[in-house]
Order: sequence, then C-alpha cells, then structure tokens
Amino acid sequence: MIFTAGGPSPHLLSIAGRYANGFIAEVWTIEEARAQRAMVREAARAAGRDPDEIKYFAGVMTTVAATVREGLDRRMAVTGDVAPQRVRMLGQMLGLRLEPSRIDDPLTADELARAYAAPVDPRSEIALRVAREGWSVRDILAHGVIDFHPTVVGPGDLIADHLQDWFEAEAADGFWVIPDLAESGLDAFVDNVVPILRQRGVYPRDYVGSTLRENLGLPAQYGLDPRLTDPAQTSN
Amino acid sequence: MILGTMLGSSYGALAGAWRAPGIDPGNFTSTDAQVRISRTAERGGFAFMFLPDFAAVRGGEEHAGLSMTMDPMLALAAVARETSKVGLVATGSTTFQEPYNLARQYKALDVMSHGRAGWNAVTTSDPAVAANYGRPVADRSERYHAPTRRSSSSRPSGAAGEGTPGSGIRPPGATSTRRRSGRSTCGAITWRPEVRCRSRRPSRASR
Repeated sequence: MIFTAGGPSPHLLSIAGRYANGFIAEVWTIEEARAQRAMVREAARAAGRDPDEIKYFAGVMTTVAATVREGLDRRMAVTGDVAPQRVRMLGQMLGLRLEPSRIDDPLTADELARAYAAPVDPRSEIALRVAREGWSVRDILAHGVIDFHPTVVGPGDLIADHLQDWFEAEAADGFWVIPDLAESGLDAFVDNVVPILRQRGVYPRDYVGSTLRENLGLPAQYGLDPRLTDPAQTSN
Repeated sequence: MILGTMLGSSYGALAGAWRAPGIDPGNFTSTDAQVRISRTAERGGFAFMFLPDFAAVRGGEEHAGLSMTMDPMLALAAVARETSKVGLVATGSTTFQEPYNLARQYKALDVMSHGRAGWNAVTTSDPAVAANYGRPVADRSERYHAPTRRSSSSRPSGAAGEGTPGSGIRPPGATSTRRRSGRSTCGAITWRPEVRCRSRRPSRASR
C-alpha cells in the first residue's frame, strides 16, 4: 500500500497516478482541493487505473474547545506570544499595512473594505474570512491562519461542519487530522467530532475490515498492479 | 469519509506544544506515547497513523521540540503489536535506501500487523540527509526515477498462494521476487507470506 504526499508536481503526479493508493495534500480551500483531487484522479486514470483506487486526503489542524474563544485562548497559552512578529505578514496576506501596535484591535471598516486575499499566499483567503468575522489581529493569528494546513478551532460541530463540507463538495475522500496537542487533542477529537460525523452518516460506525486496504475501501492487490506491467490486462 | 492522523513527535502541532501542560517533554522518544495515541485513533475508527521521517537532526527544537528522531519502522513494529485495526504508514526515502531493504522492512511490517502497513514514498533532496548517507544530492529526474525501481522490486513473480504442480517447496501463500533495474539491482529472493485481503467495497458514504 503506497502513499505519496506533497504538492501536485508533474513528477509526483506521475508516480502517484501509477502506484499510490493514498495522496496526502496541503490545500487551503475547497476549490483548490477539488481541482487538485481531480488532477490526482486523472493521473490514476491516465495510468489505466480506476480513480477510486487513489484516496485524496486533505490536511486539517484542529483545536477542540467548548467555544471558539476558549480554543483561541488555549492556543495562545501554549504558543506564547508569537503573534506580534507575524502581524506584518498577515498584513501582506490581506494587502494591508498592519503594525504590531494595533494587535488587539479588529480591522476597521475601511481596512476591511480595502482588504483582499493576496494571491502570493494560498492561505490568504482563510485569513480574509476570519478577519471579516470581526476578530482582533491577535485572534486572527490564533486561528492558525499562518500554518501548515487549514486550522479549525472550536466545538465539535464546527469541526464536523468543515470536514463534511469538504467531503460533500468532493474536495477530499478523507482527512489527515493533526491535533493541536498530541494526546489530549486527539482524545478531544475522537470524543467530540467523531460521534457527530457518525450521527450525520458521513463516517463509518466501525472498521470495515482489519487490513489497511479494506479500511481505505480499496480492492485487493498483491504486489505491483498487473495493469501497469502487462498491457494485455489493461482494462480501460 | 476516511480519517487518518499523525504520529510525529507525540507533542502536537502547536508551536511550543512540547512544554504544554500535560505533555511529557520526553515524548519524542516515547513508544508508550505512540501506542497510546494509536489506540485513541483506533477508538475513533481512524484508518491510519502516518509517521513522517527525516533522516537527520533538524533545528528549531525551541519551538517545535525534537521530532523524527526514532526509526519509523521500529516504532511502527511496536505499535503494530499493541493495536489491531489502525493502519501504519511510514515515510521511507527512495533516494538513499536500497530497494531490497525498503521492501523487506515494509513487508515485515505488513506481516507483523496482519496487512496494515503503508509506505509513504518520498524523494530526498536535503543536504543534511545526503551527508548522513555519505552521498551527494541526486538531480530531480534521478530522484523521481528511483521510486519506480523500488515499487517494481516488490512485484511477486509467482502465483501467490496457489500451489503449482511440481512446486512442492513453495510454502502456501509465499511469493518470490527477483528484479534487476538500471543502477539498482534487487536480485535476492525473499519468501514472505501473503496477507490476504477480502475484497469488499463499501459505498462512498459509509467509508
């Protein structure tokens, strides 16, 4: 069972299309993920495989908390005061000149009117959406808008909404969940997000089988796919 | 919907997580923590744990803590015997490891875990890793050609699990591999039992 991870370069797509059953992605929006997932599936099709044989996983970072406010406070308590040094970068993402001195103020109406998602950074759209919700600059940063994957902070149903929205938009077959804290964060996800996903009928109640292939919903395969090596067996 | 999670430093993703309340700063070499995390994931029906790797020491430990110091295959071998359902995916570099070693280790993990092993195939261009192997960094086309040789070396040449008349020395479910490709040769014959997988394809919504 082969996984690949990273951006969809022609080299990686060529390898993934032929061999991979799992593709772990770093994507920021549903639109970007839909387009990238389609590229990965097309790479599999081009190699003569069924696109459903490659599962596309979007990374997501999580902080489970009773409220968004509580989650943000907990994140800031762990990271320490790293926000001031990131204010100017946030400004660049929003096309604004932001100074660290106003870190505890939300963006003004004038700033919000002028702000746009700078195309140089794929995370800008998320930063802009959070800014429009009225959070202070410090709180915008505590939302994890400058991080390795999209971050969701708050109660279980908010996190479940994110996953369900992406899944139902066919932006991902699944998710690579990266909690804020390794042990308590994963416990919180399992206790507060998984039951909601199950209740909504978008996540299985139990394991389908006992092998990784079965649990990824993949057909049996042993060794190299004969469709890749034996032209007589190419099915499509 | 399928979920997977990460087995990394066992601190968490937040900068400074290694010194957060309730986190043991020694977690970066704690197999016990990796087992606890994997069992939690199993409780949540997660399909896989993903263990990244970087075969050199990285800086930045003040914020991120130490990570990726333990050999991923040994770590997952331990986790395999303490869990029963969750998949075990480890990063393995195609650039510096010999195909035979890679294939042998992942096959062993697959057998030990009863069919739960996954290989995250990566190419490596980091000079710090190259230095640990005493080799220069290969150019891009060479790096991306290498994985195809490694994948090929796991191709079974026998009919798995099917006894052929006159082949009485082949154990049921064992296959041999023999492969030679370009610069890299994998000429050894290995005997490994096949982990059988029932083909059962659930609908998209139930996954």
